[in-house]
Amino acid sequence: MIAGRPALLAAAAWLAMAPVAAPAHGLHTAPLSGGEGVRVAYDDDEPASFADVQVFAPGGAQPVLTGVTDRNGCFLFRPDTAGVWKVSIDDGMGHGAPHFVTSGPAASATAAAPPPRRSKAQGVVTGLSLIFGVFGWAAFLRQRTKRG
Amino acid sequence: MRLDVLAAAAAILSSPAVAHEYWIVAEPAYPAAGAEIRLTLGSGHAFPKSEILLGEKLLAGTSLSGPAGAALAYVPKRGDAAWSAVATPAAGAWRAEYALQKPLQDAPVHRSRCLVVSGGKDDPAAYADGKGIEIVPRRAVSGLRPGDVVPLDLRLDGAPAAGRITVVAEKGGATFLSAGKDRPAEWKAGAPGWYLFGVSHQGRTFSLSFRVPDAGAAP
Repeated sequence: MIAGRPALLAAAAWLAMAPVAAPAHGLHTAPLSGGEGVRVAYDDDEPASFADVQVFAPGGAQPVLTGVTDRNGCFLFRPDTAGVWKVSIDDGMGHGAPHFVTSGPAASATAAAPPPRRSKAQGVVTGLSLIFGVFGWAAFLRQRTKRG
Repeated sequence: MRLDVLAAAAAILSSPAVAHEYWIVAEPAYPAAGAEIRLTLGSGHAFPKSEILLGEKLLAGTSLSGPAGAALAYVPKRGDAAWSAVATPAAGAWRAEYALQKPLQDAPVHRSRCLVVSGGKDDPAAYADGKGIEIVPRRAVSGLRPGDVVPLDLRLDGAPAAGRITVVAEKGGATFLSAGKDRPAEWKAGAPGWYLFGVSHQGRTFSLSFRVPDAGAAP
């Protein structure tokens, strides 16, 4: 009976401390505003939902964050350093697109961002212009040759 | 001159439509009964050479469906630019398939099908499953010869449908066919090799591949 007392005391002490230890590793949350976001969509404006996303910090070769777009094709993150952040999107079906986000006072970094892509409509107009331009010149030269 | 302009414009404007396809092919497409076949799930711009590795989390519905409701599951393995698997179908006509389905969606955004005829036992009745949008040849593909005309039905949940079918040949080039609810599209078989037929309906796509057998190949 006396010999068992230390064991009982130890068990009681452990039981008393255990509940204290649990909250020490808990999580807490707080509201956060701001951050950077990107919406990814196909040509017909259907959202690229659940596409894989990789976020690269300025000058970084390895992604510092990976995730997926939500069902609306949206992805948000919070840059913690100034510069141009690259957001790489891959829908797993062969469609991919980079998106660049300039964070903080980074004028020189802004210049490093690539020019915006042409829209599909602009591409079609450019293509048509080239076609009619080339064939217009051909027709002009043909007429000129005939007259000469 | 005017025709030249129109042809050039049509070629340039239509090229993006066939720039990116998904498919499955089986080698050989017409094996002996019980012989092994290799299925390749591919995507890219140069059918049947795959250039794009599809996302693993999107792959669904990997199966071989055969005669009398027979089914064989296959597990694709990752390669550099394609997924592949080995299967051993018994004699009969089989549909080798996979689908691409995004998380939390109740239906796939794409389905690819390849026709495999094992042991020479072809059966056009086994070419369809009546689910979603499908392209269905009316005649046996294993006996095709260059120049043969193949009626292609377009079906939506088993019912006749109208739409445009894109045809991509292994040797290069793309053509478009039109199918109506009351009439099939008609495709004239080209040189021996693989052909890929694609259709889109309300944002969901379907592709069918089969091979025009080499000259002298046993049906």
